[in-house]
Parts: sequence; C-alpha cells; structure tokens
Amino acid sequence: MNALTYVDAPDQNLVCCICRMPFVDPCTNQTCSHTFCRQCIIQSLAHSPQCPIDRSFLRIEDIHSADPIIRSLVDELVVKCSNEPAGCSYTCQRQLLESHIKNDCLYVLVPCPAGGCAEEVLRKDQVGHLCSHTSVTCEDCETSVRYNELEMHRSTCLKRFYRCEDCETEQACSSRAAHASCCHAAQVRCPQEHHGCPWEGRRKDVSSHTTTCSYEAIKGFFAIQDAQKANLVNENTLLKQKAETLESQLRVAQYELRCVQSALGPWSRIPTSRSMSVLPPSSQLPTPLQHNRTSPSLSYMPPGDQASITQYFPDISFDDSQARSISSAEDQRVPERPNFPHSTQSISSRVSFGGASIQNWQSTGSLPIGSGSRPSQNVVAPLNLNTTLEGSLEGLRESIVTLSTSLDSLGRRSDIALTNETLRLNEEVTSLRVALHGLRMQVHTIMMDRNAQVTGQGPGFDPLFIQGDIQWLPNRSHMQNPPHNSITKL
Amino acid sequence: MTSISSRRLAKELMEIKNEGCPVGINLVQADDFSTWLFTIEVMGESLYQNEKFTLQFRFDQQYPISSPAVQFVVTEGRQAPVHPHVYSNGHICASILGNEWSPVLSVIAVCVTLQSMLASCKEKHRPVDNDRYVKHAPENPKKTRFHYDDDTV
Repeated sequence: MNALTYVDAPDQNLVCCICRMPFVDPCTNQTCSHTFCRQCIIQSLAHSPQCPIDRSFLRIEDIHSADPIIRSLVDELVVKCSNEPAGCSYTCQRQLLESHIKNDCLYVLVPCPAGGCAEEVLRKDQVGHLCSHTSVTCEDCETSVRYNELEMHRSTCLKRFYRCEDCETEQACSSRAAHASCCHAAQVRCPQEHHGCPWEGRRKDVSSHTTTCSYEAIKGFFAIQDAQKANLVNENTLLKQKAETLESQLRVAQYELRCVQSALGPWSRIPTSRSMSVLPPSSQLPTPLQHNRTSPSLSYMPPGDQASITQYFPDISFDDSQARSISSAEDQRVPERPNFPHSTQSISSRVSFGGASIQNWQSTGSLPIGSGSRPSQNVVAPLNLNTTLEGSLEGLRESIVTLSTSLDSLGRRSDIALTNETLRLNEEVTSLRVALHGLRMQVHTIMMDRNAQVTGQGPGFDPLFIQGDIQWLPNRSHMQNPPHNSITKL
Repeated sequence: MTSISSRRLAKELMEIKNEGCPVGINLVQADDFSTWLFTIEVMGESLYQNEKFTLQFRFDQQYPISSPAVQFVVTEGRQAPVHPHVYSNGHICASILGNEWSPVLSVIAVCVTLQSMLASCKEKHRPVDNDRYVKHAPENPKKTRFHYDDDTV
C-alpha cells in the first residue's frame, strides 16, 4: 500500500513527514494533534516515545485514527495500478485499487482454467485465449496435444504432408530428411567434389556424369593418395608428439646439466679446454719466497677459470706456492704467508726446534731455516686442475697422505734431536761444574795461604766475599745483583 | 518490495535534484541508499570563511526512524572543521544526530543545522576531551553516547 505511485503530486498537507508519502491509514495523536501513517508512527514510537515533530512525550495509547475527512482525502487520491510494471495502465482512486486488482486487473496471476493444472497464468491469458496448458487437436492426425507443444508436433506429425520443391511430389513431413537424401530431382554435386570436380546437377544425372567425369576416372588414384595422406598425417602427429616429448626431456636434461655444472664449479669444463692449459713442471718455477705470490700461480689457466676456481678454493694459491716452495732448490720448508699468520707461527716454531740449534733460531728471527737434510719425499705436487674432479680429488688425497707421513717423520726426528741435544747439554753442565769446583778449591787454598801468612790465625772471615776477585762469569759482570747470590746458586 | 528507507531516500534525492540544495551545500555523491556525501561551507562572515568541508551520511534500514550516521570526512586530505563540537576524527557532537533525532528531519535539514552550528561558532578550538575521545572512538559515531551540555552553538 505504501509503495503506490500517485498520478498527481499529492497535497503536502496529506503527506506523512516520516515516510514522505500520502498518509496510509492516517492516525492523529491526541496530545499534539499531529498526523502520521499508522505504520510510521508505531515504528517511530518503538524507537523513542515522543512525537517526531514537536518531541513531546507520546505513547502508543494516544494514537487514534485520524479524522474521516483526512482519510477520505487520501483515499480518493488517484494512483496507478501496482501492476504497472507488468503492463497494466489502469488508474483509479486509491480506495478502489484493491477491488481492481482482485477482480479486473489483467496482469495478476490466477489459477489456470484448464482442469487439473496447478500452475498460475496471467488473467489476460485466461480470458478468451488458448491457455498454454489447454489441449488442442492436430488438424492432420486428429490427436490431442497440448497447446504449447503443437508446433513441435506439427513438424513430426505422420499424417502431415509437404510438397517437395525439387521433385514436386507430396511427401510426409516426418520423412522430410529421408526424402531429401534420395530425391531424384534434388540438386547435388559430383561425388568427386572434394577432389575438385565443379559439376553440379540433379541427382538422377549423377550416373551419366560419372561416366564422363575425369575425376571419377582416376578415383583409384585418389583413394591411394587419400590413404597415403592419412598415413602421413598420422605419422606427422606422432612425430610432433615425439619431438615435444624429446624437447621436454632435453629441457630436463639441460636443467640437470646446469645443476651439475654449478655443483662441480671449475671442474665442469668441456674437454676441449684441456688442450689450452699446460701444466709447467715444478723445476722451472722460481723461488716462492721472493716472488709475488699472485703472478705465477695458476698463470697457465684462462682468467675466467682462475677467477671461478679461486672463488671455490680461496686457499688454492697457498697450496700451490707451498708445494712449489718445498720442491725448490733452496728447500725452504715453510714460506712466509702474511694471510695465514697463525699457522705460520705454529709450523715455524716446530720446524726450528726440529732442525736447527737455538742460537740459529735466535739469530734468524721469526724466519726459520731448515737443516738442509730434508728428505725429498716431502715434495707435494701442485694441484692439477686439468684433470677430472675425481683425479683432482685423488691428487689432493695423495698430497694429504704425503703431508701426514712427512709430518709424522718430522715429529719423530725432532724428538730424537731434542733428546740428543738435552744429553749433550747435560754433559756440558756437568763438566762445567767439575771445572768450577776445581777453581773454587784452588781459590780457597790460596786464601787460606794468604790468611796464614798475614795473621797467622784467620778471623773466621769468608774469603769468597771479597769483591773484585770473582770475575769468572764475565757475561754477568754488568749485573747489579750481589755476586754472592750467583755463587750460592752454583 | 523496496524498503521504507530507500523509498524515503529516493524521495529526498528527487527533491534535492528538483529543487537544489540550500546555499553552501552541495551534493557530491549519492550513488546508492547507504552513503551520501555533501560539501558544506559557511556563507558570509564567519570563522570558517573560504573553508569547505565534506559531510558523510550513512543510512541503515531503519532510516528515517533511526538517525543517519553523520560525520565530517577526514581522509584524502580533507579536514574536519576546528569546532568545540567537532572531534578531529570528524565525529560531531550534536543532539539532533543522537537522542533528539526525529523522523521528521531530513538529510538537508541536518546539513542546514550543521551549517548554522559552524556559522555561530565564536572560537575555533577542538573539544576539551578530543585526544581521549579520538583515541577510543568507535568507527560509527552513532555508537558514541554524547552528553549534550552546550546549547549556545
């Protein structure tokens, strides 16, 4: 009811100020005499109990139906039929609309007049027309069909005939397709049309045409060609599939190869690059102690390879120079390596103890010198990057074995040397002691003699305390320590 | 069946388009019956001369029985007016948007009321509890229970 469309703009005095539409079932409240639609004011009071216009207190009990004159005014407003969207153009007073829709409007749904049909139809379809649900009789075969299925029935009705346009005979509608495929007068094309014959004519003339048709004459040839073509097409499809499979396999293989290459690093070179690199013999190399380390190492390799290898083996030049230094003519055991200070220190201290005397070590500072009797099996071959990865690993392993054996023998030699040296020093100390004791005894005898000559009787004075006489330890004469401490030590 | 709220809003929109907005108020966007945008500026001598604010209306299904959610837009470079009853997040402390809302009021009526609220402002400053309120304010100003204590502006 409140969704109606009014034909004329309604008087503003008849408009509810809540919904802004003409009153529907207008109500007036007794306290302030304002008028609203019943539905609007009930909703508004449910929200807050006051008059929407003057905010005075208002209860639902104060609401009463509006004056009949107001009701008549709004009920007589002219409205459009609510079925206007469906097509009804009827307009009437608002109060009459209900009966229009109930009894007259053609655009309301009513039950189908056909017996037994539960569906609803628009009233306009019901009045004076064939409802889609009513049964009608086919005029050819006289069977009863539903109205909305009549068209479909007419196209298949067995009793219905049509006139063939080609042969001008009456044919049953149901066999239209079958007749079209065998009608003698129908326009057809040559059976060899797909091979290029342009002939076109009635079906009954086809046989006479085929006797003269040049395409028909080489029908057998065409058949063979067609078969071969079909074979080729099949084969081509198979080959395409195969090529696709191989391509995908190739992609997989390439991907795997890249993975392997990245894993192998510098060893993943193609075999032809081996001819470019020649490993120089170690005897031709200069002394590693003096030369610039970076220039000769790996100089036989292409720059790219060198960069990539140093990336994987940052200490490879160290190994190389060490190996060459060992094999050099001077037979230097350990070269100076500024970027490995810790290992240099430890190795050099061990070497100096094993091979050289203490005085030698002190005089040369931090650079130790081998004893010169180094055995030749300590030579470590330089890392050969031209072989396969397996070969390089094997070479490295051999180098490690060599290193460990030489380290072992070095340890043993240094043990023996240390023992020998200790024994020798012990003997020297013993002989020194003996000599010193002899000297002491001699001095004692001299002092006793002097005392006896001067006084005849010694005052108990220990002659060893006289300064200036004890000059037997010349390298300690500059010390400020009292000399008797040194003597008591002995 | 169109709801009462959308019929009422359609009616208001038609009136706005037929009769135009009051001076200083312009309809910016009313694509649907849920959110409308207006620009509002104070005409004549006022503290807000040459300032233009954007007012946002949000309607629910109960409109016009319940009030629309009205606030100033403070995004995309737009500012809420500095006013003792307007918080910096755009929320407005006005009784007609709260407990004094009446279904008789309309969108244009609210716009005109707020315009006059700005026009009668004597001193530009934020509400005293602005920072505290903005920190905890709900997204919808209708969820705030304002205490209306000033009748002068």
